Amino acid sequence: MKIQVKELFKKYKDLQVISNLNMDFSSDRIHCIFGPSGCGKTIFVNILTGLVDADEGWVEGLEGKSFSYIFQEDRLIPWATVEENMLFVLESHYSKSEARQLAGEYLSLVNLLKFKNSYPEQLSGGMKQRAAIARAFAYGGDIVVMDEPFKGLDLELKKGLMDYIINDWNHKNRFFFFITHDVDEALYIADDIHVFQGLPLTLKKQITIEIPSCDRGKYRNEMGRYKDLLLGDF
Amino acid sequence: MKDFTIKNKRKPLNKVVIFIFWIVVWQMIYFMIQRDIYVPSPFSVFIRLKELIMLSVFWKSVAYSIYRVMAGLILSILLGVGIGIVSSMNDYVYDLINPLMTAIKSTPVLSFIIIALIWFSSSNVPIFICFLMCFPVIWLNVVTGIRNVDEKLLEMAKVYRVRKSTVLRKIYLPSIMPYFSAASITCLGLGWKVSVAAEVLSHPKNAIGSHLYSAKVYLDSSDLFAWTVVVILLSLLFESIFAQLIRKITIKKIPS
Repeated sequence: MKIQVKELFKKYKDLQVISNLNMDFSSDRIHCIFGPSGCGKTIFVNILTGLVDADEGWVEGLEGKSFSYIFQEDRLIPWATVEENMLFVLESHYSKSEARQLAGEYLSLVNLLKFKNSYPEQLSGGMKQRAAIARAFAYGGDIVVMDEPFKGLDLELKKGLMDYIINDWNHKNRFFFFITHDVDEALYIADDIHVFQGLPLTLKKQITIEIPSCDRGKYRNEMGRYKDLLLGDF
Repeated sequence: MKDFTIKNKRKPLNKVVIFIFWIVVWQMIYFMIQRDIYVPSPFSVFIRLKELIMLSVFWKSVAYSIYRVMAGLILSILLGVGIGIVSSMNDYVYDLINPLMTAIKSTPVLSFIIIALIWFSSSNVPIFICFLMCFPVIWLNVVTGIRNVDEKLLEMAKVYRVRKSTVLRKIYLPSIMPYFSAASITCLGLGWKVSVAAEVLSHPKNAIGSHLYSAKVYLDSSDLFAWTVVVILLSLLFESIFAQLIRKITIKKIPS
C-alpha cells in the first residue's frame, strides 16, 4: 500500500500554502509530519483526508480508505455523554451491541470507562482528548491521522498510548500520520520523520529511523544522533 | 487571617406578592381617576370575567380564537422550518427570500390586515395574519440555527463517515432546537397579539377580537379589560405549555 502526492497546490486566502508538493508514503510505517507551526501541515493532512480540496494536483492510494482522525481539539458533541460520543461514530459502522462493546473496550484503554456517562463539560482537557483518542482507535480507520494528539496528557498515559500504537496498531497494515512539534514524541514513535518548512509547505528532509520503535531505548547513542539531525534544522 | 467571601444571594419575590402588588397599583390608579369608563376597578373586571365564563358564547369564542392562533402558528412553523432549511442550504434561495422577510417585518400589521380583509373571509384573516407575522421569526431562527451548527463537529462526522440521518438527529437537531424553541415561544405571544388585532378589524363570528370590538363600541371598559385579561391568560398558558413540551422533548439534562 502506498500513498503518492503529486504536484499538489493549495492557496488559502492570499497565501500559497502548498506549491507543487510531491511525496510518497508507504504503509506499515508511522510517518511524522514535523515542522514549525503555521507551515501548512494541517492543511496538507486535511487534503489527504478529504476535508479540504486541493487547487491542483492529486493524491493516489486513498480510494475507498477510511480515516481515524484525532484532531487538535477533542471535537466531542457537548450534549452527548462520552459513550454516546463514541456510539455516534461507531453505530454507523457496527451493530448496536458491537458498537457498545467496542466503546467500552477502548474507553478502558484510555482509562475513561468510569466516565462513560459524563458529559464533555464535566471532563478535564486531557480526559476529553483521551475520549477523542478512544473514538479514533475504536473506529479503526485504514489511515490514522493524529494532529498533536497527546497534548495535555500526563507522561504515563502518553507513553502507554504511544506503546499501544507501536506494539498493536503498527502491525495492522495502516498508514499513520503523526503531526507534532515535540522532538521526543517524534523520535519515540515515528519511523519516517518528514521535516517540513513553509510557506509554501516544502519537504526539507526525510529522516528514516532504522531502529525499531520497541528497541529504541537500547540504542540511546544512535537515537541521540537522530535527535541532533532533527534539531539541526531548528 | 481568615479569607471569606460574602455571597449576595437575592431571594426571588413570590409570584403571588408580585401579582398582588400590580393589582394594588391598578386599584390605586382606579381610585385616582375615579371613572369606570377610563379604568374600571379590578373588582368590576373580575365580576365581569366571572359572568363571561358562565356564558357558552365565551367558550365558543375562546375555542375559535385558539383554533385561529394555532392554525396560523402551525402553518408558520411548517413553512418557516421547511423554507428555513432550504434557505440555509442554498445561498441563492436565501438571497431571494431574505428581502421578502425584511419587507414583511417592516410592514405595519394593519396594512396586512386590510389587504387580508380583501383577500380572505373574515374568519381566515386572523389565521393569515398570525402566519404572516410568525413566519419570518421562525424562518430567521431556523436559518441562524443551521448556520451556527459547529463546523468542526460536521468535519468530524464527515471524516468518520457517520450516516447523514445520524448527523441530522445528533448534531443538527440539537443545535437548531434552542433557536427553534425560542422562536416558537416568541411566536406564541406574537400570534395571540396579531390574531386578536386581526379579529378586532375583521370581526368574525365567535372571536375574542370581535368581543373586544363590541366592548369598544358600547364603551364597556369592564368588558374590554375582562377580554384582555382572557387574552393575556391564554397567551401565558400556551407559552408555559409549549415551553414545558419543548423542554421535555429536547433538552437533555446536562449537570453544571
